[in-house]
Amino acid sequence: MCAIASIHPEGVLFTCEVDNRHVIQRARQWFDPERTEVVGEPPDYRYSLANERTFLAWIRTGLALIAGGLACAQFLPPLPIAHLREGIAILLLVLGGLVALRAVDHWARTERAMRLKEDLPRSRFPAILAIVVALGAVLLTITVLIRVVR
Amino acid sequence: MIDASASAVRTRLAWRRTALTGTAAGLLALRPAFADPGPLELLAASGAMIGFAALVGLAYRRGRALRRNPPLPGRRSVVACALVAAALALIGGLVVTL
Repeated sequence: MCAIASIHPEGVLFTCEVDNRHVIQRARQWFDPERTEVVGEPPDYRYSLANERTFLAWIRTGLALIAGGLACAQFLPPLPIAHLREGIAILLLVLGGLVALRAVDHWARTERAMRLKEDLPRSRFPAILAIVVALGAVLLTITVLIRVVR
Repeated sequence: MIDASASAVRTRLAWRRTALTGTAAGLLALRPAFADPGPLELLAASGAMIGFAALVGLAYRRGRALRRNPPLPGRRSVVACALVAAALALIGGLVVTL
């Protein structure tokens, strides 16, 4: 996570300003952000709720990826390339799980930044997710074309 | 503070949407238990239903907590929700590799 979400607006890498805390500390922050953030003060509750809704939107994205993976494995006919169907299903499920775990981490870091009145954390994750999904779509398109040509 | 409850209502509805999406994912994991029943299929199906019930329960609990004025930011519900989603991904992996 240190590499992700550490680009400052000026383009300088502050790799270890927010992210160098121990994993245990960060896990504690997941479970009890208010207890760990003794330094900051609670922001306007509307900001916290907006952060929570963003988190929920990510969870829905993750659940949709999971549902897509399950549907892929169960309803797609076997594809011309061996095990491609299962591979795509597993990829979608892994992405779904990653999205969910990243969502809670990002939510906790945003909550912390708001309490400390710092800049909100930035993340490359949406771009990476978009690229992976696009590559999957290209792969499937190619498979469909192969089938049409045959 | 005008319209103070709007963000609480939006958040409550977002929780309900999330529970509904979880329903869709849970039902898809349920299908093999009916199509081709076996111990692993039944395990996956019961896990998916537990996850589904957990999501609905979390949405309900958080929706009630949001009635407080001003509402407190969610903490355990948020983390539990993410863990349930990750668990559903694992159950999905079980279903796919069967």
